[in-house]
Amino acid sequence: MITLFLGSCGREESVSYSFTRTDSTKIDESKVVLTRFPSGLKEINDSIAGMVTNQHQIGLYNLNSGQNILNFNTKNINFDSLIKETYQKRYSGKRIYTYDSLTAGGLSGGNSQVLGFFPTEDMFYIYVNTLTDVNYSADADQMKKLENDPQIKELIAANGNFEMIVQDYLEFIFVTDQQFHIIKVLPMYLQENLTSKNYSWFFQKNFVIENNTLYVPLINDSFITGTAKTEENKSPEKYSVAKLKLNNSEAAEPKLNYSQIDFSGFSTNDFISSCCVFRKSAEELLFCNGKEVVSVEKGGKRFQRKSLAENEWIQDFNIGKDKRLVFITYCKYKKKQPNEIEIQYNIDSIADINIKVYDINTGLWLSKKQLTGKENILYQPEKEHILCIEKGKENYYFKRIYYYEK
Amino acid sequence: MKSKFFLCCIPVFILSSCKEKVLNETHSSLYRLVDSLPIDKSKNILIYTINPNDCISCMNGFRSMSDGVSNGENGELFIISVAREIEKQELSKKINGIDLKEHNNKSVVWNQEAFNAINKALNVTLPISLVAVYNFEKDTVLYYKQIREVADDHEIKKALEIRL
Repeated sequence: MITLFLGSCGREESVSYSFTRTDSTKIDESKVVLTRFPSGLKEINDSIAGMVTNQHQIGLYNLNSGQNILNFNTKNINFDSLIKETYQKRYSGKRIYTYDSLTAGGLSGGNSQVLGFFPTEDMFYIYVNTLTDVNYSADADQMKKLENDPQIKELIAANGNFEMIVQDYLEFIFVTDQQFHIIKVLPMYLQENLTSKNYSWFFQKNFVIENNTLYVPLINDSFITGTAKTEENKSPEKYSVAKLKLNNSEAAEPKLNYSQIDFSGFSTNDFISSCCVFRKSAEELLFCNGKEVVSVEKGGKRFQRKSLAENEWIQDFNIGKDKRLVFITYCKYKKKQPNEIEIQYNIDSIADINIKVYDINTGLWLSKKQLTGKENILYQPEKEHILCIEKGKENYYFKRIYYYEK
Repeated sequence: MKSKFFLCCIPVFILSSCKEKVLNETHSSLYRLVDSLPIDKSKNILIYTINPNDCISCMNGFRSMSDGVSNGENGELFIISVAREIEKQELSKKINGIDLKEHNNKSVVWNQEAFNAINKALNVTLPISLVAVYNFEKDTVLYYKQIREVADDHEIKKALEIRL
């Protein structure tokens, strides 16, 4: 029996929490071999969890037996036809899409990437993208953008003008029933009001569906390329979330500007690697950017970064009993001898992973528990426990850490 | 001129294009590994360190490059970061775009420790896929770059032609 090693219990305020370990459950790999560490772990109900098991698949597992009970993949989807019916029609006369399954799948084969999902009571919303050759020659606006790209400028300088065929990701939400039967496919065209300001969806990070409305993180090109000016990190002109109706994706509404949620001091790597978590409380939808928790619709802060240490970041959070927020946090430390890549990307060491319980009403930390901070463990905070996946030498395991007020 | 290259939807940074790194050890771990393999060591060797968890565009870049720069004259070494036998078997079934079978002047090493050791020797502490050009005689890495950051294969071809 493998159990989690838990460090000594830290207690910061008057309320004391107990953290109990659980037995581990070996994850069944008879049908799906985990050739990469799973991601997107979500507890669907008391006994079932879902996760992205590889680049092409989502699996549902029984948490008590570890059995793989159902899988979703796109291997039978004809993306060539899907793209012709969606993106090619929408951008007819401007862009030419040429789908090639070898390009789409990369080294691992397949025709697409399945990168995330959101379960509702009776449906799954699954994010899928596929890599496709796109000729933008007749799309003046896009060509202008491409020609300003530093990499392309460099290539043109070195090689002269050439016909550009860009490999671009095309994004879709597959809507399925509980048995993963596809009900419909929604192409996620980037909207003009977002592209004109250089925003992209960030579905890979997260998304949530609430009352037929989709919320997805936004990322601005200037923050990815590191060309943003310092003051832009606080700009009320920059937004972190897009809200759009599933039946009318043409009208994407940007939400939570940078004066409402604090991105100050974020490096390029922080924008890319920090968490983007949505959680629904009884009253409101909350969004976390790795430093703060803010109400998406009202913009009010429910957790401020001043409650974290300067080098402390939120990996994930959930809403526990009595408006208590349960966080998984970690700390970043500057490397003593960073290599070139670490300097370029501003990559720090990560340590000190904790479960921390915070009371919204009092603004105080209630309790803290240090966790084993290995690369081979994924912690997922649920309402009354932490769900984990751990990779052992030969197998993967589900584990749960329960926490409760003494 | 018609040219084709890959571009991630998420822009990436350009690191300095060509790097030369003399490994400090008397015989580096890369030297010892290459020494044990049946590949031509008289010319510069093309090396790919592949992490199957790496991003999809890296893998596309890898495939494009492999097709573009391999001429059969230089030795080739593929180091794939896989620790469990069950994973190796599964990935072997799925990788059909590239011939990863060993044959003359080409070696495939399925080993996470070798992957980590080689990347560490290049001072790359992250588990990312790289393409490198290595001179065995001088135990010197003439070029290395993250696969996701290679925009064309000219610089790799150039590094393969370097004579020390």
